[in-house]
Amino acid sequence: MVVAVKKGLARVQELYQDRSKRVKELKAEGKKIAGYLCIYPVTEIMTALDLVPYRVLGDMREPITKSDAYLPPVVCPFLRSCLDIGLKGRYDFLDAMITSHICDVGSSLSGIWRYTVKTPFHYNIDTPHTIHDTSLAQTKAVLKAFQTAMETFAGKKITPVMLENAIKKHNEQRAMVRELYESKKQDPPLITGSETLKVIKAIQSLPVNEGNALLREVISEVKTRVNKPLKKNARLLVWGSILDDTAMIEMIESLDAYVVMDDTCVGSRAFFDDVKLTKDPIDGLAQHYLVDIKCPRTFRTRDFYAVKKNYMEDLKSRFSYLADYVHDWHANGVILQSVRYCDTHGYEVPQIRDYLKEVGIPSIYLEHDYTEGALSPMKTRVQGFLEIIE
Amino acid sequence: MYNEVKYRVDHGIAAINRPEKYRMSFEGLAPWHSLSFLDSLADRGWNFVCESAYSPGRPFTVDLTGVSDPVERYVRKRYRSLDKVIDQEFEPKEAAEVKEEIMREGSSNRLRLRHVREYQCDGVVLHVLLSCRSASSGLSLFADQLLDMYKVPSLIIEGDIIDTSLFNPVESLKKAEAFEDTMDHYKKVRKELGFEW
Repeated sequence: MVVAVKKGLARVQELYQDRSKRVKELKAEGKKIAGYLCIYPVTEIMTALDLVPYRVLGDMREPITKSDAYLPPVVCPFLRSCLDIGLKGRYDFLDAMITSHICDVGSSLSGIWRYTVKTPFHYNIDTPHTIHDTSLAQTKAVLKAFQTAMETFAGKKITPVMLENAIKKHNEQRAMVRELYESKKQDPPLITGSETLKVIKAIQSLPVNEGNALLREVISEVKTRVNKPLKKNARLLVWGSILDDTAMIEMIESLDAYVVMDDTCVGSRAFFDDVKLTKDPIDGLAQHYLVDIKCPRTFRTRDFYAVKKNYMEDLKSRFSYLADYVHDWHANGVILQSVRYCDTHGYEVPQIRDYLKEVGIPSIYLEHDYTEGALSPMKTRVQGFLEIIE
Repeated sequence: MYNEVKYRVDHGIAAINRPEKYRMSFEGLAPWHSLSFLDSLADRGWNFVCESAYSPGRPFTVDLTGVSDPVERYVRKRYRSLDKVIDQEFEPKEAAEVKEEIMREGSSNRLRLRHVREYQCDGVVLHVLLSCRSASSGLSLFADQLLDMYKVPSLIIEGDIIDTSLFNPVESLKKAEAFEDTMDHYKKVRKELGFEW
């Protein structure tokens, strides 16, 4: 019996439900699978070496049982979940695990993963946390060292042309993701927030060429779909820490709202800036991964050397892009969310709220513990927020 | 203070002014708000001979001849490369093994746990802090590696630097009492396995 190959959103749904199926097929064909945690590991280098980059994520529906032996319960539940399912063997197909210095617990997880999950090859990219010129220079050196290590792992060398070609493929993917997000500017959006998250998760489970092909199908399908999402009153931007399951978005969209834009890391954050093509490709990659990605793990301020700072000017320099997103995607309000114990995002919340208040954008903050059970009480709060912004 | 400590060392007087029953290491930030808890442990003969949060590295000489820039002199003097640390802490043969282990595995338990071996600790207290995930997130693995490598058990005592209500000295002391049986057991295990202590 010939099984029809699914396309577009049907394929996305298939991948969302069984992310690892395709990479396991590729592994059986002889490909090496490079798992990576967070959006800071440089996937272009993996692609240039013909490795398959595969985003390591958690599973909020899987009770955490094994990782408590290695990570205390008072740390990020997403990272605990990643380790938990790693310990349970669900990442045994990985040939490499690439981590980076995302946050302190993430760094601890890197060492713990190496010691306990024992993926055959492991590398931690020590990405700096500021955007000084010296930090950029350090990032370039760190990425060159990463490239060398990956070349040793893969058993081949990357030429600048190979790396440039990989950058172009990934930039093509970024451009298509932005095109997909453009379709959410319409009212109603042509694709829901929940569907968008599934698409992002799907393409981060595939080699870049296959991800790009899938994106072309999805974009074509979305633009011509007959059964479009129905109109709703509220259009929301969701900001914050990892959302790798549609549960929260579905909860929001079960109300009279769509998530039309996001600033999260299984969302727009990795895709809204291209890597510039530079003579030495590492220069463009360093600029992108250190400076362009707007994650709170990187410290930014309007003027590092100013003795006296204007608070609101500083907030504007850091967060005006959110106001632009709200404006461009015609959002009514912003939901700020983070997992419990995420200091990186949690510390950012008061200042983002101050900024949004200053520019007249209503917002609400939701903290959750990366379980489905956490969502029910939040629904009431979101409902109340929607009533306010209407 | 130096003279006082030297006198104690020269005359074998334990820091705790009581017979030493257990040599201990403290991992994590100290419970500054409840240091008297450590006196309760001292009453039981627990002598904290080392800790890893604040102890400085061994001093070493840096050749700064030819370096005139004062900022560069400061940085070079302060910078402790991993190579230098390993060469300082271990004999040449073992230093080479540790470096090879790091190249192969990415880290070395021998390097990380060396103070427990050097001070011949019977047990380690891990002070897991609710609000300092930077300090606390690696402690569970530390306990696992320590037991695996040197057969030294660990006791987890939870607390916080900011929220003092999270630290329960009464409960922690009960855990400590029970932990003494564990330490006694692993003393025997180490002896059977031929460890130095």
